[in-house]
Amino acid sequence: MNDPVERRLADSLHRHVEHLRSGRDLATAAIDRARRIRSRRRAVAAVAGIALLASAVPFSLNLAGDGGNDRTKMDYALSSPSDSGEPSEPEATRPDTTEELRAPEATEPTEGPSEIVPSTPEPDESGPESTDPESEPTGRPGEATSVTIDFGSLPEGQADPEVPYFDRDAGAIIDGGARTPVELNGIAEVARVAEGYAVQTIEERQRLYFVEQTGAVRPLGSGTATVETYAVNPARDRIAWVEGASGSAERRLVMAQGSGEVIADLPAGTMGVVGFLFDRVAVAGDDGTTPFIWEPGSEPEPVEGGIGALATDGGGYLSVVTGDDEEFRTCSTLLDTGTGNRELWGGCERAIRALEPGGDYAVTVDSRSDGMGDREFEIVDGPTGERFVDVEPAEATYFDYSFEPSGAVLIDAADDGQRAIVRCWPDGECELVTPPRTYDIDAAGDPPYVLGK
Amino acid sequence: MAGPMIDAEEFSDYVSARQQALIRTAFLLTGDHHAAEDLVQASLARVYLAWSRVRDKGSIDAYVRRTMINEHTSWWRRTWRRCEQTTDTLPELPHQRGSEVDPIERDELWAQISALPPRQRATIVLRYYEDLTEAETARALGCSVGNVKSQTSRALAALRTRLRASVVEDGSAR
Repeated sequence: MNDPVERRLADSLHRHVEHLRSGRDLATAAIDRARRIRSRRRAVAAVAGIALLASAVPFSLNLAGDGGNDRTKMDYALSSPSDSGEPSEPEATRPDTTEELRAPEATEPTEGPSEIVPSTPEPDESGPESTDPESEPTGRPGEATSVTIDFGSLPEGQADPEVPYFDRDAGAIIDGGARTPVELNGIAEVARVAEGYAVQTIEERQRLYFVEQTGAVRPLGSGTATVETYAVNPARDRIAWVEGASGSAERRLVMAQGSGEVIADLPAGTMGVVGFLFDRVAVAGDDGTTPFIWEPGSEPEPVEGGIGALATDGGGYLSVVTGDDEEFRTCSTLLDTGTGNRELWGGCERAIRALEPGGDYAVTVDSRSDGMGDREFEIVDGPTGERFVDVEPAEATYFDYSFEPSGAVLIDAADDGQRAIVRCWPDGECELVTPPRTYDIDAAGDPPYVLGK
Repeated sequence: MAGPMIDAEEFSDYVSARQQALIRTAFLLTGDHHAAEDLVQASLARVYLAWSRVRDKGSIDAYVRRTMINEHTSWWRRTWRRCEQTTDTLPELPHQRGSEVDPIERDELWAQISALPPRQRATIVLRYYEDLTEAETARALGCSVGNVKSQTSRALAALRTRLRASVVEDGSAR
């Protein structure tokens, strides 16, 4: 520790508490408290067994699309293992991604088709205020920090983005301190892989390329096929894509190494890539077919009860479309695939647009958003859906979202004839990350920046 | 053979040995003595529930630390304390004695630390008070090492900026 600030910091922390003492008998108090929690869990488990039985029949009918009158907004009681404070099995479903990729068995879901499992709220007596499970919030409770984004009043951020982005004026992918020149037209998507970048272009049709850190470009897959959707795994050593145009009988789901070397493929039907769940890829269509999860060497595993999917966090979390409500809004639910597809939260008012790697946070938008630009969004708690930040409608439009490892979200935004990348934190603080450049939103030309993953 | 009585005795022995150290870490996380005691008690209750399942009692400190961080995080989320309040006065310290450190400097650094967002603050406490490595800190926080590096870097940058600003203020005030 050679930095003087770090030394002062360490000294300050130690000196601040060196004489701190507690005279309470915390062992006895903790044991008493644990016994009360244990008693309460036994009582609730007995009641929940009856409640689950009572709710099972109407729930399954709803997912089958039966009963127009039963299509009501589905708001789920919030239950999060991360609130329990116990670093036991639920924590193991979202461990450090590097370690877990080497030992996936710990979070493998159950064999055979996975069904969406409704969660049962656990009693929780932790914290300075006792939490009554009867009053657990549902849907979108509590107050969030409201912010509006206006380029003219945002401060300039000091830190480079922690995800790569394409700067069209510079003709390069900017990734921290590194610049990789790219000679490709129509760049629409960039994702970092272990030895370079997977870059999608859109001209007459979408194609996928591997760009080395030297700037050398080569096509991925067959090279001539249309690639509409793709994703990179958290370890950055696998790429998955679907090649073949929509409606083509030859569409295939391809899994490749980070270098682009194909590992395996299988017929894709109408599916597109949603994202990775560790080393498995989740795919879904928009025609009501059941999404599935696949890893080379195993059979595709359908996610029963789902008719589409929206996003993954790269780990165990998968946002699944479950149907429409009576107002024709798309309903979705966030599943923890590491614990048998247990439901975490969901509803019909909001839809997840991005999940933070590790699942701590999510960006949600109005479920009726058409994906052509949002006028508002929210940053919420990943495991529970509780709102932290409400970015209110103003003049700005938001096109894409990408979480940084630190938990901040980068947003590709347009405001007042300009376009820039903005960073927002879960505490509501926002800043400009790139200088705003002229952009005519109505002309729909190539944007000055392409936010990557 | 382990049973409830032996578990309780073993657990109590552990708490007796480690209580004060846990209180200090909890105080650095919460900034308040009473909240620190509540945090430790709530966390220990959860540890006790899992006590018989913890095979390696030698790593119980890491287990408790992880539980405390999770517990504190869930408190923060539940009560919407997104902006830590800076303290104008030091919290009550039962046995405070004269310190070699200029009290003005200690107050100022602590005020800056208290103003950090909870996740950055936890990272700082684990790295610079508990003296954990980046990997150990990542395991305690349930995040990646890259996240720890990023949180540490951001927290230090914020502290440096604020300390520089206060030095300038002190200079102009004199």
